[in-house]
Parts: sequence; C-alpha cells; structure tokens
Amino acid sequence: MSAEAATTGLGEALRNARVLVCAGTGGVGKTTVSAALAIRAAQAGRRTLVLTIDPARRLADALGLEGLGAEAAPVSLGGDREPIPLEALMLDPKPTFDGLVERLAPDAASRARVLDNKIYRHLSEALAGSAEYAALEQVREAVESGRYDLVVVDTPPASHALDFLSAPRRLRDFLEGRFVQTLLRPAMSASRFGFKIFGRSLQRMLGLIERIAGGGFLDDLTEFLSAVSGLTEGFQAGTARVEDILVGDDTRFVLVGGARSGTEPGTLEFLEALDAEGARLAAVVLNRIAPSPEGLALDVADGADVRADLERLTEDLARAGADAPEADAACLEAILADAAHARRDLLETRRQLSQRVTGRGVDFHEIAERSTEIEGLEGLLRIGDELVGAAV
Amino acid sequence: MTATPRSLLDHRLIIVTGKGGVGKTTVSCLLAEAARRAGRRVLLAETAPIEAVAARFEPAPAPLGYEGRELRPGLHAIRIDPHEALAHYVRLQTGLGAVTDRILGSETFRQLLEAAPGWRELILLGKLWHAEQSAENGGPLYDLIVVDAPATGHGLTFLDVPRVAQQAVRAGPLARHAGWVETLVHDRERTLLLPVTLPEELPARETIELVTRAREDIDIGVDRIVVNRCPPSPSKALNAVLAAGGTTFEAWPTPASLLPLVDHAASRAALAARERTHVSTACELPVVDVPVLPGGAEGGSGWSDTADAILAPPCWTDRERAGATAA
Repeated sequence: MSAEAATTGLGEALRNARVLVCAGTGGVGKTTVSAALAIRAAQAGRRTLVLTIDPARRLADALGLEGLGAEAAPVSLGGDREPIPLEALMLDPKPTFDGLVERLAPDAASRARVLDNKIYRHLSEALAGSAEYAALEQVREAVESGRYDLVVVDTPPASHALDFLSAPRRLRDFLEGRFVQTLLRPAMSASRFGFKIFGRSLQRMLGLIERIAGGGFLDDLTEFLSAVSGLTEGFQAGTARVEDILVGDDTRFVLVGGARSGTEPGTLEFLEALDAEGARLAAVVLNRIAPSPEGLALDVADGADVRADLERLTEDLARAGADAPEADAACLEAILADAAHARRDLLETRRQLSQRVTGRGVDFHEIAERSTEIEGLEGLLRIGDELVGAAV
Repeated sequence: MTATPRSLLDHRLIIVTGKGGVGKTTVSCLLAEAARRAGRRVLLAETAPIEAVAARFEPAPAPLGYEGRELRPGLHAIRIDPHEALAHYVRLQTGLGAVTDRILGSETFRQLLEAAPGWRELILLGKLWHAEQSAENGGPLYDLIVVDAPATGHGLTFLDVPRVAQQAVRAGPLARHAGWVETLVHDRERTLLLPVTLPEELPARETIELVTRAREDIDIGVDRIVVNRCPPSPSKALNAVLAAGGTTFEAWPTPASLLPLVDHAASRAALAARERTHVSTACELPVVDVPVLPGGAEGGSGWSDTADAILAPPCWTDRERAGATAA
C-alpha cells in the first residue's frame, strides 16, 4: 500500500466512500459492526445498503431481515426515530454456481451445455472461489445499480484471508491458463486421438491422468472446460469490474478482529492480505474485549501463587453457608485466570496491530464484550456511537 | 439410539470438525493426548495450511511436515499437505519416480490442479484410509487416528467427495480407491464424526446444520457434540461473599472490584448454558463439555493433565431425556 492510498479513518469513510467492506476472521462480529456503520451513514443522510451474511437472530430482527427474499428491504429504527435511507439485503451464503452460470451465459444453449455436463453436475460446488465470486457479483450489482450512495459489505466467512479478495482473479487465471487453453483446442475435444498434437510432456501428463483416473475422464473434463469457456467473456468483464470496485478510490476496508488468544494471527494475516491487494484500510476494530478489573496482575495467568487467597475465600464462603465453597473459589480462580489471559492477549493484539497501522490514517477502535445477547437495534446504535462518536 | 455412546477410544478414525475458530485443534489435541495416556497408539493428523498442533505440545515447535514425528510416546503427528500426498499416491500407482516428479512439478499440471475440484479432499481422505490400513507386526500401526479436519466453511462437502469422485471417474484405480475410502467414511464401527462447537448462537446454529447434513447427506456416524470453552458459572454464594467485602486478598484485586467481573461471567455463563441446551436438543445428541482451558486457548501444556475430560461419557442437557435414556 502506498502512502497516497492511506485514508483518514472511519468518519471520512462513512462520509465519502461508495463501498465499505468489513473484513476479518470468523466469529468476531463483522456483521454487527457492518450493520452499526451502515446505520450511522444513513443517519447522516446517505442512501445506504448493508449487504449482510448469515446474521444472528436478533440482528436479523433488528434489520428486518426475517423471512425476506432476495430483495433489499428498508430498515426502520423504530420508535419515534426519524426514518433513515437504509436498506438491508441478506447475501446468499451458499450461492450455487448455477446462479453464476445463469447470469453469465450468453445464451440458453451455452447455459444448458454447462449445466448438463457430467463433471459440472458433480463437482461445480467446489470450483475454486465460486462462492466468493458469486457474493462479489451481488456487491457489484448493488454498486452499479446507482440506487445507493454507500454499500456496506459484510464478507462471508473464509478459511483464508485471500479467498474473498482474490476470488475474481483466481477464476480468471484459471480460465486464461495454459491448461484450459490447451485442452480447449478444437482437435482435443474429440478424444484421446488429440494427444498427438501435443508436446511430449503434455502427452505424458495426460497419459498419467488416464492411467489413474480411467478412460473417459479426460473427455468429460475437456467437455466441461469447453462448456465453461463459453462463459469466459462474461467472467472476464465481470471480474475486472469487481476488482475495480474492491481496490478503487471510493472503497474502504474495516478490519474487524477479536482480542482472544488465537484470533490475532488470523487478523494479522488479513491485514497483510489487504495491504498486498492495495486495499484502502479505514479502521481496525477489536471487538468483544473482555472486562478486566483494576489491579488484576497479568501473572495470575501464569499461575501466580494464589493459594492463600483461595483458602481465605473458601473459608469465608464456608462461613457464609455456601453449598460448595471449594468449587465456588475455584470458579473465581478460573474467571480471574481467564480475565488475566484475555488482558494479556488484548495487549499483545493491540501492540501487533497498532504497530502495523500507525501513521497511516487508520483508526483504531475497541468494543467491549457485552454480558447480554448479540445486539438488537439499541446495541447497534450504541456500537455506532462507540465507533464514530455520538450521532449529531 | 443407545443410552450411552461407545467410548471415543473404540473407534479407528475420528474426524474432528466444526466452524473456524471453535477449537477443533484444541479438541483434537485433547483427544489424541487422552488416547495416548490410555495406552493407544495414536496418529494425529492436521490438515490446515498453517501448522498448529506441535505448538500445543512443545514450547518451540519444529514443523511436523508430511512424514511427521512422535510428539509424545505413542502419539505420532503429521500435517497432510495435499500436494505431497498426491505425489506420494501417484508414485505408489505408477512407480515412475523422476518422470512423475517432473510431471507433477510442471506449471501445466499445477494449473490442472487449480482447476480440478475435489482432489485435495479425496487425497486427504485417501491418506487417512492408508494410515488406517497400515499394519505392523500383524496388527494395525495406529489404534486411533484423530483428524483436525478442515473448517466447515464450505460444509461437509469433503466427506462426500469419494462418492462423487466415483461417479466422475467411473473406472480405473482412482475409482476403486475412492470406493475404499467411501466405505471407511460410512463405517459406523470404525469412523466417527466429532463436531465441536462453542456455546454461542452462531456456532450452535452452524453445528445444527452440520449434524443434519451429516445424517441426511453424508451418512456418517455422529453420537455426541463437544461444547468447547464452557465458561465458569459463579454461584450466588460467591457473589454474596464478594459483595460483603470482608475478604482481604493478597494476589487478587479487592472483592468490590471483582464483583462486576463475576456478574459479567454469570451473565455469559447463563447465555452459554442456553445455547448448549439448544444445540443438544436440536441435534438430539448428548454433549461433552470442555472448559476454558488453563493457559488459554494455546498456551503452555497445562492442558494435557486435563485431557481425560474429553473421554467422559457425554451427558444430555435436559432432564427429561436423561430420564428417558436411563429408563
């Protein structure tokens, strides 16, 4: 990321960006953060769409997503609050490749040719990046519709940071790759006789595949690739536009991470991936920060000697008539050890992340863990306040 | 449905699965360590691109790699890299060392692999089948194979790949081998799917979907759910004693400053208990609880002394069912 690509935080992003992408590992509250930010943008008068994936029940209720189809629906803040120009749309978390083929096929015949192919029917689900790509296509449609000033995107859970960002490129690389192009030469599509036209190394390779996978497999594969290639033009145009949107001047990213042990490697990996893609990062949000009492020593996490405290507490509990004084004392010990760990994990995560983003105009925010359920509407408003200050 | 599921130790292959971040690796290590302590010869296989297993056993872990190594007596750990597993497989099939290596290393072949769906999953399961079949002195080389399976972001598709592959390739050695692997996946005697979840809404919901899918689409044995990171649940008595403020601590902060923390913990524990009951009831499966481990999610090796907890008989979370199964 060049210095020029630096941004100036969440406030600027909410005012000026056309697309705001919330990225991060799973289970850190991306959906909550994206909904809270979308509300704030809409409160400021921008026509906003939040594209969300698999929200928790109360969040879905808050956004009015329960039981809705594929159409964006207006979100009401309820009560006597002023209506805001906000719509919400639930992305299909498992879009089928069929839908993508439907959209991209130039005509009915090419569509049928892909959908009827034996290999396609069995294996299309796993084709690299198709789910992520299909999600991005929905983002592109929303952006290009012209109906919104800002589209806030909650990214799908990905096993790897790059899956989401690099899906378009991987699909295109595959279709333009030498293997596909070679197999698609007309002479090949007929049968194994086509082997003759290839160089020896490719012949050897195809021979090896046939030896293991049995006769007929290559014919099916070739037919599949040639059917898919009918869609190449649509893919190429689509992927180029999606890439433009992702790294464009008007797009900002918010990286959402947890502070519990084990989440920071994933968050750092995301940060690196975003930088490598030239994405414009507006803010890092550490979510679900566990409470930590004043004066709790970090060495409690290392098993500092707390036996005397345990004994004293057990005695006091017994005197107070507790049913299981020892279990109660052990419970407090576990809570404190966990709090000390959480505190240390937070300090470490904060250190690692802030080191990477200082001086780049990237905001750094922390949100405390709630003792209640996943946020409803009130919770979203409160998180919005925490992130960008009280609403005007 | 039997009253009490078989012991985890009475299986040959246990596939530990769940949403990313729920603690699959932690549970896999607990299970492997507990089985080792029970005298079993264990193979622990991890499948993620970034190794995480050795770090649970060693302060300064060296990579395991494809060959792996013995982490503790009786516990061999490996990381199955699909490319290495594929090269291994192809060499076994063809015997052509140098030529095969050249083909496998070529850019064209790499592109084919990028394009070919499902081979990673198939080769991973094939490697597990191979380990299950491996023998030594007339007996199996490993009593128990524990797999830290890929995250279920894309569902349980990987377990379905052997069936699908046979339809796609129809003939030849690959189809035959996929058939062997499929038989292993479905074999209730040998194989168990062990879902791991957290007592939170979204992981619980995803686990319910996963178990439904395992039953309806994959046809694989699943007899319990591991609920990881069950938070400690403070009692009213603890709260009362801290509120009274009469206790003076040496290492801990004052009772008054601990109260908000204990209240917070009680609320989180109540939420967790509800989600735990929900996932158990919806899946009609008993649960095994794993507490928040001493030393945090991946710190230290203090966890290994508590590993046996993973072998405890799973319990039902609602009283009615507990009564029904006891009867």
